[in-house]
Amino acid sequence: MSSSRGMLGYVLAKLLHRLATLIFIMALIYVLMRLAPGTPFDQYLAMGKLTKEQYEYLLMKWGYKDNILVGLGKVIYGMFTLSLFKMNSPVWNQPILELVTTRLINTLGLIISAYLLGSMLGMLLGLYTARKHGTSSEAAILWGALVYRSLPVFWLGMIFLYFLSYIGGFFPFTATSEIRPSNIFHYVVDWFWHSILPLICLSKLAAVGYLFTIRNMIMDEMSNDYVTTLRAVGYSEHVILERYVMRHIMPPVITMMAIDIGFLFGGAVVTETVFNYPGMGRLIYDAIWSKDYPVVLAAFYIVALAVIISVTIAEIMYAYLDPRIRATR
Amino acid sequence: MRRYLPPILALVLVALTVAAPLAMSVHAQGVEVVLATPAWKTLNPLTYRTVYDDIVLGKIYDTLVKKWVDGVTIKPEIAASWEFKHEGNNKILIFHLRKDVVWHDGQPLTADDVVYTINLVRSKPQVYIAPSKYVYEGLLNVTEPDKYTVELVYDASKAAADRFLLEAFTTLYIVPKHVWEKLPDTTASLSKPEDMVGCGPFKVVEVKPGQYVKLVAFDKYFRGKPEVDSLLIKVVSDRNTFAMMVNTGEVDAGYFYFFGKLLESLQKTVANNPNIKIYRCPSTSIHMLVLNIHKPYFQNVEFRKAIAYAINVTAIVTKYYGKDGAILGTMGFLGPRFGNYSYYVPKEKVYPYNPDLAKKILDKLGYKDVNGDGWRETPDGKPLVLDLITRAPGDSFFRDAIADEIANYLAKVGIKVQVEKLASSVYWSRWGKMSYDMAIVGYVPHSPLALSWFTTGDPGNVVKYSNPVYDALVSKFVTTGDPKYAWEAEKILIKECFLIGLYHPIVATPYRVDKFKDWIASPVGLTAGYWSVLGSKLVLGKAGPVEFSAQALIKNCRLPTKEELVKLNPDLAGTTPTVTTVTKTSATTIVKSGTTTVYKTTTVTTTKKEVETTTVTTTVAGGTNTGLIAGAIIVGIIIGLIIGFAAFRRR
Repeated sequence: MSSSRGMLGYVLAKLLHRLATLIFIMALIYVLMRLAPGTPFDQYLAMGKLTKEQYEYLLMKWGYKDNILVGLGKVIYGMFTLSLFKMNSPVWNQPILELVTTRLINTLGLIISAYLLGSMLGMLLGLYTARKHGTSSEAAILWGALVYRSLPVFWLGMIFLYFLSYIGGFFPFTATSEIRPSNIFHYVVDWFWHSILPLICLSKLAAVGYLFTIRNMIMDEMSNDYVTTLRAVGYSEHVILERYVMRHIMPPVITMMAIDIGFLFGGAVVTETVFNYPGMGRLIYDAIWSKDYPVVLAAFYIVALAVIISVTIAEIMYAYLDPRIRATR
Repeated sequence: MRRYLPPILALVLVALTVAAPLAMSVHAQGVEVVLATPAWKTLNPLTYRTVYDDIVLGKIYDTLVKKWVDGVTIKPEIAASWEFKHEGNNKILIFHLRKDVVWHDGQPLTADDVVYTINLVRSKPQVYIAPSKYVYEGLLNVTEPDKYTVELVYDASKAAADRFLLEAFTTLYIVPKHVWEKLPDTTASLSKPEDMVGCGPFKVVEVKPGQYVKLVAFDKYFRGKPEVDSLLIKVVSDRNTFAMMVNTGEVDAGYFYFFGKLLESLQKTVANNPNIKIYRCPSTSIHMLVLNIHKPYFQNVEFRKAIAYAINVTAIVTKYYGKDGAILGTMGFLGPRFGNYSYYVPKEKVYPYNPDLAKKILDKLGYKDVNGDGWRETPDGKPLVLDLITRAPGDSFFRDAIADEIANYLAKVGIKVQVEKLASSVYWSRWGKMSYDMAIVGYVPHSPLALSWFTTGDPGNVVKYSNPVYDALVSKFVTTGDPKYAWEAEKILIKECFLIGLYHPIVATPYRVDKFKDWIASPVGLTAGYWSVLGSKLVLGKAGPVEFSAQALIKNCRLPTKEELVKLNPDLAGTTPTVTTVTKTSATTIVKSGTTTVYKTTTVTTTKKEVETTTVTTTVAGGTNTGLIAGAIIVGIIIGLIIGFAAFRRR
């Protein structure tokens, strides 16, 4: 078996496995949503805002009266033909594609910035603490990071809002801007001003994780014989770290990076709710509360797809970077 | 170089955060007011469902006639005047339109647009759900005799009384025919400014769904340019954030209200700020304890009265709303905000708190504590447990805590109550299916016609009350508009005692007066957030502001005399209550075997001397269990994929 053939087989097998996972996730979400009682229209019927005919019509129109099997079939069919995105939302009365794309762009902006900020900060601090091992500044950073990591996002968000926005008046309460920027600099400044608090909240997930992983891995590697040899040869600590040690610890870090994307989507739900940020998390939250299954399914489909794709890419890259993984599959 | 990177990054970050507020301070000229509202859902004047949609739409679109700030008088808007004609079986309503009404794109508004709007709504009433159904109920024909006149012909036996028919038109936003004919989907939420052309006081500049709507004053608005130059309506998720934003000046007012303890803490925080005032207005809504008349115990009116006697509503309301946070709820559904239509009788007036009397009635009905555990049993010896559904903790009307209070009061007379605090969707679903013994629920009637929500077959009749006398009175009331019929209908509800009125909340909301002083509550809902930002010159004209105090409102109601009260509840005369001697209780046992379900209903009828037992057995062949099959299919798909995956690997 040639090596390229093995690689291809590995990739295809993985993809098949992922597809099963994706279908399972969507089916589970659909069945769970259907088992929970209520529809978006119950309240308006109960309040006398809708007549019985209007209510029945709306239920029919949006598939709330479908047999659960038929509905499931429609969902799986919709996953492949993308018809999940082609209908209107029963609650927002707006094409789902339009609803989801605007929210997705907002969330990606937040997640990617939080991710860059968090990973950069985490890696820098990880390097720093590994090098300053045993000093009091390392202890201070580690303790600080642990406390910061343990604070729940919603609580931290509310504390930020209370002290920095309400008492201090430094930042706005809503994480979206309503002014039309006059130039690109203005836009960037405005965006940062509105997003800095949610960014700090969201980036802590990535930041602290990286700090500890990088620190521990560097310290592990530094105790290897080859490092001692390099030191004996006369290489500086800088060169050893960047040219040799970092190369060894890269594969696990890449995996972590990919998996973190999924966690960030999860963290975004809470952060967006606290800061009133109109992203995917907030959309999912609102849609679940108002029993808007079509939107919940479409939104989860995108999130699940993003997580699965990033994890798959990570695994493939990992296998590419480290031949041992391929051999032992 | 590398070692300088972190400090440089840090510096840039700090610089950005410091520079931002400075950059932000460049603002638009003129008076800009910022309103906050919870997220709206559908921005379409004919298909919207929530009040939050209406707050935005009401600024952009306009109606033929409008309620004035007193919430009662109907004033001309797009229609300068109207007249009613009665010809045989037909009722004809003629609107004479103003000739100076212009759409935001410059086109004049004509009878064409009005006829188009009415015909559109009439063509698919199940889709265009926003306007009141009385607009098209019994409507035979719509014509336009000339460019500025619209004539509607109704079947007089089906159409609402003149006043209520006119009131229905306050809910119908007129849409421009020339724009709507080109819309691909006239039922969807609109978001492009060129699609959202109205003739109201404000023009759309930008809509960001889920974030904000930006509006500017329309200088050709037919009643004159509004006092506010631009308006930003922002989405804010909760009332605490809203209170903080008002305090810091980030928003000026909004659709968030505060009651009881929440209001007290708000008043403390804004007490030192001269720029913040608090607006208060009693709401038309009523919160009630609804007894499910289809459950065996509650079929007997004496049992319902026993429940009413056992609960001290005044004490509960005072505890959570203070002395001026709410008006005591009427037993006849229409509260003091409906003025002369309201036959205002709070529970304590007609069923005064009297636990001893409640115990006496329960004893007489046979609900006694047989096994000595402190709780009453049903006459046939089964445990008596009533479930009470209410909203989950955190409810803005304290309905979770109020349910506990009610359970405590009932416990004092020996009735065991199981309180279920439910999330909103579960709550509405249970409420709609009537799967409860008792429920705490809030109703928001917008007009006295809401009495029809308890007539047989009405879509609003979720409690499935049915009484031909009541139906006849309400239909008389709808077609004549005479308050006498409303009072008689309300008297029936009071006598039936299955809607125990708790309170009508008085809403309070903060607003800022530094940028804009001329706040007037919009006549649409009169409650907070329906702020009209047109200025008093356009809204009030020469009239003075309207004050709503609870006392003044109650004085306008039809208040019962002592004799009338005794007629409503003979117990008040001091005689011992007459307990009906015929009681009926039924219990259903369900036996499941395989896919077949057997429902066995045993009814025990007790009269003075004899006890009769009838048993009805119903057998239902079970259907297939869809959930199980769905599960099996999912598992099948996954196993199939795993097998495929494994086979692929082996190769």
